[in-house]
Amino acid sequence: MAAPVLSAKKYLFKTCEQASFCRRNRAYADLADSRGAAWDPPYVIDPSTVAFDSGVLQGTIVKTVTDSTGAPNNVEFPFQLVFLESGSARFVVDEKQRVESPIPGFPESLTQRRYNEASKWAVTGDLTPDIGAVESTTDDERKSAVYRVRYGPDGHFEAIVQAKPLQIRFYRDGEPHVILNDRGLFNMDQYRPKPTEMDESKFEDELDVKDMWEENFGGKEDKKPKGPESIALDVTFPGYEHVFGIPEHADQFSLRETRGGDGNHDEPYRLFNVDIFEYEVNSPMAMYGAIPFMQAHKKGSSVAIFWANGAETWIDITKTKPNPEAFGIRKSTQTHWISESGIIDVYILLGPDPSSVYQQYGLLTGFTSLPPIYALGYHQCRWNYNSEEDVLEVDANFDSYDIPYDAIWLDIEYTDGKKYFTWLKSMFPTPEKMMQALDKRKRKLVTIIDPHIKKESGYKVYEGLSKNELALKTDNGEEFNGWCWPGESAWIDTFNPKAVEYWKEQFKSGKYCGHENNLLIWNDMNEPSVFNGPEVSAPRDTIHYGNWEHRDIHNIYGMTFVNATVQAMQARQPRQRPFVLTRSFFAGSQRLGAVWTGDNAATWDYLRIVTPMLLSHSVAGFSFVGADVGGFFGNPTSELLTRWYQAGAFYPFFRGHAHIESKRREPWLPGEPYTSLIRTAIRMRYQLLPSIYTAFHRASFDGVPIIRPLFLLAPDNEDALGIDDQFFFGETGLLVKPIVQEGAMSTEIYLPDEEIYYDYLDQTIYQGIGYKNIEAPLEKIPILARGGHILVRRDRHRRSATLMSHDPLTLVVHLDKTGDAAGVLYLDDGETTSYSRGAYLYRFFIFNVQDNILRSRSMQASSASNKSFEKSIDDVRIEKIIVVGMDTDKLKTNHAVEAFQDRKSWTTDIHITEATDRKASVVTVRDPKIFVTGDWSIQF
Amino acid sequence: MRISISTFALALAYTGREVLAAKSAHIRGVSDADQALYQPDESGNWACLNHPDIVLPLSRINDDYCDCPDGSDEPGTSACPNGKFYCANKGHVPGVLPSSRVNDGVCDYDICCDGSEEWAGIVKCENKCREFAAEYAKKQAEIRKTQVSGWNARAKLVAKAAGIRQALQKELGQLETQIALSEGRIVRAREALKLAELQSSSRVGTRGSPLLGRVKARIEEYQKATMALSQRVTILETRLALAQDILQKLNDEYNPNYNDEGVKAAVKAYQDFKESDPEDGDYHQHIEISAADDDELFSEEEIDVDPDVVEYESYIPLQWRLWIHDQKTKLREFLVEHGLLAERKPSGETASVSNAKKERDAAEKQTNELKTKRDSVSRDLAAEFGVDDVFRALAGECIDIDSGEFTYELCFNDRVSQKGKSGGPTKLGNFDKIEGNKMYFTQGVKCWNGPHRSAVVEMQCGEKNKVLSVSEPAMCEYFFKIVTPALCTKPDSDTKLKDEL
Repeated sequence: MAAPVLSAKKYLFKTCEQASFCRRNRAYADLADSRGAAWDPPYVIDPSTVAFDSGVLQGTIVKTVTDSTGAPNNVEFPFQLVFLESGSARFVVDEKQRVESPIPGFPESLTQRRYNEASKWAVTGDLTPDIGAVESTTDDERKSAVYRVRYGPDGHFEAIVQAKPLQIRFYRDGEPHVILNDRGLFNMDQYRPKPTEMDESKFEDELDVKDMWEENFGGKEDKKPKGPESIALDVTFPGYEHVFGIPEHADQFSLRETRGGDGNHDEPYRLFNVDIFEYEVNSPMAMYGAIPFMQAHKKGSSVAIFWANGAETWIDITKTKPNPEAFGIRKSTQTHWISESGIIDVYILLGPDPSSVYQQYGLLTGFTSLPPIYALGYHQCRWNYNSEEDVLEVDANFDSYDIPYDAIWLDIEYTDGKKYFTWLKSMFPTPEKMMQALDKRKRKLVTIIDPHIKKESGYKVYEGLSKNELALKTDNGEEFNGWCWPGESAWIDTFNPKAVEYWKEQFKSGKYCGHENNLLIWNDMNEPSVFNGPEVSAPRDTIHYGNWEHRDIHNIYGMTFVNATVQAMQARQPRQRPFVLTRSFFAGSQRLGAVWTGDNAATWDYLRIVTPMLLSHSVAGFSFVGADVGGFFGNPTSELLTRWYQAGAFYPFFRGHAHIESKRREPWLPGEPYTSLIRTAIRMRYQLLPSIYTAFHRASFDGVPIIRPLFLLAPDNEDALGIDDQFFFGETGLLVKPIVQEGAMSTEIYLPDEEIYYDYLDQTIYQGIGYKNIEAPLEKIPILARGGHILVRRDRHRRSATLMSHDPLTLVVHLDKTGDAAGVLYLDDGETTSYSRGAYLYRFFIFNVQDNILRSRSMQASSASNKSFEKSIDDVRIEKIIVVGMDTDKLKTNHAVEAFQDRKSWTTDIHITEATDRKASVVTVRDPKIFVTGDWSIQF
Repeated sequence: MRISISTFALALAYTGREVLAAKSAHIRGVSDADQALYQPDESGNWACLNHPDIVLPLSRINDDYCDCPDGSDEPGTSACPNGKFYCANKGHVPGVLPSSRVNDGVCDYDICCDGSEEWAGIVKCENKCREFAAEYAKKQAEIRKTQVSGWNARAKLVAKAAGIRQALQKELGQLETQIALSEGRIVRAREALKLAELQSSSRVGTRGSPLLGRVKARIEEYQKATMALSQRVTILETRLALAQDILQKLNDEYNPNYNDEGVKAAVKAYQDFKESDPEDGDYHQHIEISAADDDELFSEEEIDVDPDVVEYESYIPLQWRLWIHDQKTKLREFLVEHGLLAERKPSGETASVSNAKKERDAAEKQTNELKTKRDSVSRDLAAEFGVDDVFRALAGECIDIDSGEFTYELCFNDRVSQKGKSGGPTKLGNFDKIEGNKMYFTQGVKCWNGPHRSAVVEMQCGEKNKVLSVSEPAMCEYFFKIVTPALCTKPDSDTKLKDEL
């Protein structure tokens, strides 16, 4: 079967050259580079304005411009450098004239200020300045207009601000890690009214005046009523060769250079949320979502920046040649951030290690909210399941083939004419009955609800939206209409609190899907996708609530839409944790639900690119990520489908999906041996749910992702930084390498450290940094278990995740090279919000080689609600403990060990598989009759 | 809850000897018949059913821990992934559940109406066997009724099919006879023609008609018009090709995700157009043929040759000859009517020759027709129409269903089609074959950007032919469920027995 050869319709999307602000700032960078040391940028801090108070250093950056008369003129850009209690620093620069008194001739329909609310949407954390930050500027420094502030935990961090040349350096323990404006590319367009006649000679400061007050692309005009207002800043990570993040791009994990050269890109990475149809792999092109967060990692250090801007953003990346004088003999990474509008608002996170960076970022933008456990099961989707009968038949087939799944999805065809909140009655006459049928096995229904609302009289959702003026508006204040699935539509403006209230109304219990509460929601097309708009989205001069232009908030819109849906679902089912999947996202979207990588295709290339994409999402705070298993477009071969399920079983969000023109491919359709292999993969996923849920719990309070790059566990191995086809899975220590090659019989797994690794399935031992060959025929997922971790499973398969909640647990202990291991388990009711009031179980397991005892200890304070939760699961046993890699000579006897719980002790049988020269020993404790609630220990 | 299970576990842990003593202890999840498989040996041990090497104390049966790879030690719990749980369903038919459904909090009444699989108390499943048994009996009665009347209806169909078959065989025999006769007629006609031609050896000539000048002028005019028409066609074809190129480009390069309805409709219409476009509309050929026709017809020269040479029709294959002859006659009539040509008898040949030719042509035509018919009948006879040839009886019968948006029609042994609220029907497939309980229809109208439509029809026994449902599981692949007496089997006496009980 010929797989489709995909290439994005490139002509639909801008290159940097076609976006005037990107073109100008790139040219500015070229000019600076060509001048070298002689580069004298027009921006300096006026020392007389600099003051430090209560954790904030502020002042004014002055830009000297030559106006049309040739006389120098000063434009003022007030800045603040805020040292936050969370330990991060925040650098904010605004434009004075746009903050202060009204500018004559400024478009009345628009807010005069530069857009400064990106942080308001993205950041939920505490932005209180740290009064513990102290200025430590010496007199000499002050004389030469250099300012120094100590801040952060125990004063380990330091910021040095230099007036001319304008530069801010961030140090940790005396070493520089982040330098702002290292190359002098800081640049802000000041407001100027549109000249009555374009005379280029009047703009001698500008390299390129074309398109400054209006711009055309693809035959569509952008009126640019505010003129040019771009912002740009360069950020250098000294001594760092690798940077990561800034999703979403279908590219490798370690970001490439973008100024050409072998293996590099020619275009900057672009952040501009678009409905990119048939995206290309290995491309810096913009995709559905944008998180302007970049992490830099090197041996011994991890730092990051977060560029809080919701406008179109381009990021150029270059790497210096090693400079022995400046920063040892290491390369540095230089980045250049260019946004179309808004203020400069950048957060500097100084680590020092990856997990600290993720925690610091989470303290700003929030953590992954703990999903209901069924959302971590397998999801079955297709465009489309056509009728109730179809849905229930697929549902029944999962049971016939004994394959678990948790949610079945309805794409757009379930609606009457793509009018959301309606049903195509001929196919779905009794949706509530259908939902009740699914609920029998605790399964959920997911319906798609998009932000485009069909413009049709008589369609209540539209009429209310229109009447109350809750939709996006055109530049002349009328309702904006464009084309999407239903034809002519309006778009709900979810920046408007009233629109959020209106949205809540639509989802009300009793109004939508009856009173059923097994309803989950899928938000698609929220970039927003506007079929006949520029770059398949809304025109930039469209107006949103608050009189902001679409250009200012484009990348944030998708998140506000999901936010409205999440609030609506919380209002509908207040006790339930909502589940909403989104395609578009921004920094902070991790708080709201899951995301997937959009419309991929059924080829090996697309399977291959998933791992680096999920890694990029994960380091940028978005843990709950997945990709369409099987590939959206086209028809996968049975082998590809099987390999994709084997990989997908380890995606945090695990969903099979298919395009309407593809053949059906539910797990039983490929037949044997594939169906059994797919069943095995899905069951392996369910088996690991307690561990996956535990990992999500950790992500929900400290931001450490589920899909973990090698450097998270091996931070000092720089050789591992470029490896992005394998990952550690949650807290389990499992090192997973999905097979992405057709016909593979084996693969090379890279061990990033000297720890002992065991083949998860047959306990073969691997050790030593470097690549190890491991068998990987179609029936095997290559997984190694890193020594030192204890993972928890539920080995009994059930029809859905919820049905496993009373099943006994199995502990798998992989001992490290010294013979120790530890792990955690988090459990709660899996679906309500009562965990937030303490109704959960949190245990710590540790195996100590000194006394050969495995212990379970509580990690939570005792409270009434956790007591009542514990009571509800007091039937849950640990039915089996598997210890891999034990020195069996140390066992007291060969057939029993001693168990202790509730001040009682008894012996329990063990089974021993002795070690061989290749394989580790396995000691299995048979039904020790201990319960997961309460402390216990096993003396081996 | 913990207490109950702990007690249960302890009970098993500490009662090995007692179990040995009480041999008749009932093993949960095992049928009465199979209880015997769970007897201990003399030392109170028991071996996994398919792994005699794995020997367990009896206390490990149903202790909620899987010891046997075949799952046989845990028939009553969910401990083994491959176990089977037997529920007695007293008063109803016993059921067997996969062990993964034991104690999962779901009452699987469809298999265990007694609710016995949820014994741990996660959920309370009342015994519903009485209800289920009643329901079952009712259903069985209905099935029985359907089977009986369906079987009777089927018998009629089989008889009808046999009748049709017989008739076809008879027709085939008749056709063979007729073909033999007809072929004899050809031989005779050819001989008669030869004879007539020999007899009519008179000179053939056509004097120039007084109107010949006018005719010639008109012919020239006619030829000019033909040329002009031909050029016009060429121009139109060029423009059509250009337009097609534009549309092809649109088709190849448009962005489906834009979903501009206008563009999408245009692309679809173009695809449909391409589908329906006849292979080669060669208008020139038609024009040239008629021009040639004229040239020869109105040749000014005196002809002094064998009439058969002039009568070029003789050189044209039979099926075209008739058409051309017809056209020529019409043209001649037209010319005569308008005074351009004198009425005349075909002067080149005598009446006897022309009659002989007519007879020969008629004989050839008749033979061809008969052969075509014979081939069709023998193909029909050779086709597979299911067990007992039963579907043969359904030829010509159509059933349909209104599914809201569309009406779907199935005509047995012929085709399936879809009809929207407006517009004509779309053929989803032509009858291809019957295999088991499925009928296949293939090569329907091609889908936009996709394959030819096709349909699979799944059949069950029913009293009458009826479409139950139609779905489109994958784009352009349709799935019909129908009932038909043709699929009914002979009701077995067992069913009858159960019903009577």
